[in-house]
Amino acid sequence: MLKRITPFLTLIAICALLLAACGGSPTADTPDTDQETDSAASSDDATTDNADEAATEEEAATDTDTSATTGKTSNYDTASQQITMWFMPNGAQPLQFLKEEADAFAAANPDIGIDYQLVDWGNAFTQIQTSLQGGSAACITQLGTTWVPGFSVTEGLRPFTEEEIQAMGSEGAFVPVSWELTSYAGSDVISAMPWFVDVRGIAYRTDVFEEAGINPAEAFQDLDSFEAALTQLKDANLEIAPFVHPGRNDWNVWQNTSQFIWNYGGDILGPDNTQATFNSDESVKAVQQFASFYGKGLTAPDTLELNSAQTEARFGNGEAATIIAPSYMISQAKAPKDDGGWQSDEARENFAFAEFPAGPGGQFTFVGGSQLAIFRDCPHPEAAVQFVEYLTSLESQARYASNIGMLPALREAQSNTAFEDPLYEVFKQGSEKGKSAPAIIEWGGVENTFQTELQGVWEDVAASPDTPIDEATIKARLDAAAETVNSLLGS
Amino acid sequence: MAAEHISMTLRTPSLLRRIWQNRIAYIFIAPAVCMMLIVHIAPTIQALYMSLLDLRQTTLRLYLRAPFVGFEHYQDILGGLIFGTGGANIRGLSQAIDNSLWFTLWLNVGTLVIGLVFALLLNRQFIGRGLARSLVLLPWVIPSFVTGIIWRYIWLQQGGLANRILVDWLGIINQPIQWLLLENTRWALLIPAIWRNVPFAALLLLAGLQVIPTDLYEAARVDGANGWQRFRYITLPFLKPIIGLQIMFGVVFNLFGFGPYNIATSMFGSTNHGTYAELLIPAIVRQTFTNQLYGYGAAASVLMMGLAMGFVALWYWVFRDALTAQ
Repeated sequence: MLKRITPFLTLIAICALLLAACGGSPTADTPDTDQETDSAASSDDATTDNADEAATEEEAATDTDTSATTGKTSNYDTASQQITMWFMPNGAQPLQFLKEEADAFAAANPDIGIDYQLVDWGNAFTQIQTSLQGGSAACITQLGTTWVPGFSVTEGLRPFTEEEIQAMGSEGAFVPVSWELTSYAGSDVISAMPWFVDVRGIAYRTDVFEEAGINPAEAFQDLDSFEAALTQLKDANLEIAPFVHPGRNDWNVWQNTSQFIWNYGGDILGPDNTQATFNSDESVKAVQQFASFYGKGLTAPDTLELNSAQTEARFGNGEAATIIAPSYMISQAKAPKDDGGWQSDEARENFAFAEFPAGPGGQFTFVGGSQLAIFRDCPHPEAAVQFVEYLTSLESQARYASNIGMLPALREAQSNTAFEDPLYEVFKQGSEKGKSAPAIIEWGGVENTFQTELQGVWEDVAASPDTPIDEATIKARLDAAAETVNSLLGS
Repeated sequence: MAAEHISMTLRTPSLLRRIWQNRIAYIFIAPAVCMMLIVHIAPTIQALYMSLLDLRQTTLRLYLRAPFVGFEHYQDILGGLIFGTGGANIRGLSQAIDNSLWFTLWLNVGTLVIGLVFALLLNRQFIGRGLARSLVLLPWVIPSFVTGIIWRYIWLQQGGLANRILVDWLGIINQPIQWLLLENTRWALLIPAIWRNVPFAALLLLAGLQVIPTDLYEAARVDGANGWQRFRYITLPFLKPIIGLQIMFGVVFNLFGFGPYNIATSMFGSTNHGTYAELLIPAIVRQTFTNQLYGYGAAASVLMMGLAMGFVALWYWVFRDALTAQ
């Protein structure tokens, strides 16, 4: 009998152990916040690899990437202090852009060697989280702005001292919303320093607006005039979609929608961050206006299935008249056609940016970006602080942000000649009016829940394509999300 | 009776003696067993204990010293699934179970049927058979995220290949379909997953076909068996162990694993694959680990482990004859 059931039991045990070992480890899915900074390079890179994949495939990918995703300064082997930095794919040539900064720093600090390692956005969250809990091989890491509160509370990040903060310029020197996400609400410990910001505006086709008889200054005054302009574009039948935006299949869902919510006077959470308010009347009205564009025929007919990169390509191909645009679209427009630049000559020659339209509650725009943090167990914290200080300096801020197509987090650096093109003006102004996620440690869960229900709203919109979505449907979605968020916040 | 017992005892060496007799084998497998203990059993025990803790972002630094909450997470999950009660975190899990069952069933059926057809075709003699065998393997060697991107462009409503074929070339439908939204996402995910799994299944089944003695077919032909009867009574029984393995892999990877997670993520452009395409394990991970509720996630994983054990038991019971048949 024993002989008969032994293989059976062994088989069960092996399978169960394999499954439990795979499922039991805390392999967190990456919260989607700040993925937008990646999309300049390639939104497809954001594909996460934490699924159970064939080992051979992952090994092959690793082998191929290693040589191209890490670099060291020339003094690294001889330097008395060696530090490692993790950074994400910022801009079109991430390694090259960071190399410039690391080399410039190493030239001035020959006793500090930098090993800079590129980490995919899809893996970064889990990698950093594991390091915070179990110790890190790196000293410095890039963090998405909204990751900072959650990571700060783990106490795995080394706080910056008052003297270090003063040396880097302190609070007033940086974009306000970026500074808010250097710690978490209620804490005066600064765990990260602002690096660069991702500001949103509206890109539009000047020639198309002119042809339709629309004055851009009036069109982008507020959300109602914006909708009226889109309607006028639709009625003009110019064979171009009035507006294109990503639907449910994207990382940028809550970021885009929140701009409507904020400008209608709503917010994601209440003032004390203990309760969801994204289901308030103002918020529901805001989401309804945005979501009804599709049913009213004001968007590209297939906009709901597109992601950010695809919508940007639509605008660059001359197939859409307006789009919610990050600042890196300026460099995309100027890049050669065969190097990722826009394909339509009309679009390249006839575009401008406007600030995100105001609403009854004011005028705000989404500001994301990245911060720099130092791991608590870094063996050379002084060297790490020096490098962070360099990366937040005027010279490095202007050069690096301009290279990757973002704005510097250091306000003074925004006046650098690299940003003197008038096209940047909208983003500079937007950065001062920016809003982002609340600085709470539970943001990962709040974002996941909020984003999921907003994606559900886009599914509802797709289910009734010919009818603008009603407020009741949106309210039901947002109420469900609020219930979950409130339980996560413990209220 | 007593003599018979003595005789049996004499014939069967003691356990220790048998271990000693096979000591070389045990020495050889010892490193693997040690590794298993380190990389599988220890994390499993840790996961079991974690499922009883309130381990979340705020208590992560405490790790296994996080507050003990007993079976609270299990009550939440099972209560939510069975009675609709429990925490709000499990919202969508029952839909994800539906999706996973539907997906796993059709993925296995599709993969096995198409894989078998390919294997039977590739087992025949024809010019270019080597090339055909290589081409069949192509979808299998393409990285999964690339598969997702390829299919995203195939499914696009405007200009996608699928709609071009259906609307412009064949004229079967008038309006292009939105494959990447709502219920259609099930098919949009299932078809690439089958496309990617078929080569491996075909390869295994082809290997199985090649060991079937040809004289069995000749004998059956002499006895008057037609093609279907030869397939039903010779081919299929010989392939049963391979089909069994294929079913187990299919269920374990797709119902109890991440399945086509990478394909879906790159195809849909988000880790949330939508109401109709989100599978169970990604849903658990997203709703628990992304929400940074690690104790909760561990409890969900342990429950999945229990279900997986049940499935393996059922599977073994169904295929035990095929697995032991010589």
